[in-house]
Order: sequence, then C-alpha cells, then structure tokens
Amino acid sequence: MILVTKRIKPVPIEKFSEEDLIKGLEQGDGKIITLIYKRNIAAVRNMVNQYSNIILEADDVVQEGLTRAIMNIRDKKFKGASSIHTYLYSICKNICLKECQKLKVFYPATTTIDLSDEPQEDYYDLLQSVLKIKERMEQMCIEIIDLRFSLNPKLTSEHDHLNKKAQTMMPFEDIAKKLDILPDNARQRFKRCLEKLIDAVNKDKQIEDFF
Amino acid sequence: MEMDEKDNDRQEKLKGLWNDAKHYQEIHDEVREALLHSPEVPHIIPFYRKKYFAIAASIIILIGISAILILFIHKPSSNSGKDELTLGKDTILKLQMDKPVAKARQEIYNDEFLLQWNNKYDTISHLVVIGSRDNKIVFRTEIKPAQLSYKLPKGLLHPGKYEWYVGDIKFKKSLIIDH
Repeated sequence: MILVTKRIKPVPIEKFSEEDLIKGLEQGDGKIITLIYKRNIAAVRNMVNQYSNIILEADDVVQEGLTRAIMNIRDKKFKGASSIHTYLYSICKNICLKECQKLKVFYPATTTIDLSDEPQEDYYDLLQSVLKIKERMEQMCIEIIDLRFSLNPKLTSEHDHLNKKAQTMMPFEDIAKKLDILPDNARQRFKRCLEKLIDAVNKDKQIEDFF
Repeated sequence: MEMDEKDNDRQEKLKGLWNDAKHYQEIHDEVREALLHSPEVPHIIPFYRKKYFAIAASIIILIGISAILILFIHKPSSNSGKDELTLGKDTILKLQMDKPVAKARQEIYNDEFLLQWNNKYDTISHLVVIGSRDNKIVFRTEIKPAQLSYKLPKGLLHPGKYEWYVGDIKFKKSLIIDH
C-alpha cells in the first residue's frame, strides 16, 4: 500500500483576475472571501487605528465591509468603477466615518469618501434596525412574515398587471399549506404579526423617517 | 381609498426592508462562516490585541500608578518611620477606628509632649497627629488597650499648628508648637 501526503499550497490572490474575485464574492465562495479578507485586513487595521477616539475592531469592520460589498454585487449596485479592493476599503472607511458621526467624535477632515458604487450608507443602518426588531419578535411571527413577504413563486409577467403589488406577496393559501393551518388562520396570524411589526417600526425614528 | 394606497405603499416598503434585512443577515452569516472555517484566518483574536482590553488595561495601570504615588511617594518628613501616611483631608475619614474618645487633653512637658485622653479601649487603637496647614497625617501610632496617654518624642514635630485624636477624628484637639 502506498501512502501519499499532498501539500496543498494556497493560491495567491494575484492569480485571480478581478472578474474571478467579483464572481467569487457573488457566489459566496469561501476561498475568495478569505483571500480578499487576508489581502485587506492589514490596510483596514491601519486605517481603523487612525480613529483612536472610537472603539472599532478591524476584523469586524472588514467582515461588515465584505457583507456590504457582496450585497451590492449581488444587487448589481457595484458597477466596477474601482477595483474590488479599493471598493472594500472605501466601504470600510465609510463604516468608520459613520461610527464617528454617530458618536459625534472628531475625525480627520481629509477623509472624505466619494463612492459612486456605494448605495446610501444609512440604508444598512435601517437594515440593522429591522434585524434588531426581528430579534425581539416571536419565531411564529418571523416565519409567517417571511413567507408572506417572499416572492410568489407562481407569479409571472403574464399574470394580472392590475394587482401586481398584491401578487408579489405569497398567497395565504400557499402559506397555509406550508404551515399546515387554515388559510383564514394564516391571514389572521399574519395580520396580527404585521401589526406588531408596524408598531415596533413606528417606535424607531430612523425607520419612520424612511417611510 | 387614499388611505389604503398609503398603507399598501408602506407595506411594500416594509416588505422591501424586511427582505433586504434577511438578505443582509444571510450574507453576513456566509462571510462569517467562510472566515470561521478558513485555516488561514486567525479565528480567535488574542485578548491582548482587542482595543477593549487595551483601554481597560490602560485604566487599571493608571489607577495602579496613582495609588502607588499616593501611598509611597508623598511621604511626610517625619521620624516615625513605618507608620507614616500621606493621606489628604478626604481620606482621613477612612481612618476612623475603634470607639470615639470623649475628650482629648494636651499638656506641655518640657520639650516633649504628653497627650492624654480619658477613654479606655478594649482593643488596639491609633493616635493620629495631623498638620493643620495641609491636613496630612504626620504621625500615627498604635495605642494599646487601657492606655491613656502617649509621650511624643522630642523633635518629632516642627513648630506649627497640629490636630490630634485617638480613635475617632470627631474628637480631635489642637496642638500648637511654638518656636
């Protein structure tokens, strides 16, 4: 019997083209995510250390930056105006600046970011607020709101255009089947949970302003 | 009708936010998982590299240095040696010990001073002399149970105004040493 030990050498990031990296991020390729993390962590750590008056961990900032970058790539908001590394660095810098603004602390005046590919930074704050609200909700409510708000799989462009908005919601009949309850019960449960969600949202000034 | 449209619009926006938040959470988890399972990324940042730790450690070190400065560096120029303390006005109150003394009395005994009091103690107490000018303790010694006087050694105190007490600062007596 022959035993073989193979040493797998990591592929350097330089071997990947810009398109490969973006495609890898879009597909959630763990190897590409790791490579980009490793390539950028030192620069972000240096940058974070400049903001001595706020407590931020470079690792958290890069993780958050990667999340936003991937989300933007998947939503086709990233237009490729800059390299993925510049883009990620800019997002990370914006995260730090945002934190400074939130805490009303001084930050260097030269650090202005003009990021054409980046959507409104405030939107991510909104998403985090929604997640906080979600954390406080009952699992039963999260489940039914998730189902109702998910796209109707039966919907096609040929369907009724007059009531398109309503059709983007999953029908209660389908929800009822998935949850093994009656459609009326599904409707009532959703209504009750939505009221709770709206109530929580109304108490959040940032989301309220968004509406 | 207009209200319904407004509600629908709001619900539509809420739906967008809800779904985006879900999407965001999923990607966040994906990134975390990818980094967590990568052998090339250090998973646990050493505690000493955390900023929180650095700040907490700095505060503790500062407090420690301050305490050392207070306790050891500002020693009064007294001959009493081991019992010397340099505590300010506020901290003197922390030295309260034993039972209160009813009255303290002072007598001049040549160049020495005999301090007397009329309360006996069941346990060991302390005689404390404080400089009136800066409220610093210049002399402190143990008083045995049943002891009712203490003779201050010659040349222990420089000319000036002092206050002294046994056990409880509430019952203190002034002491003036002339040139």
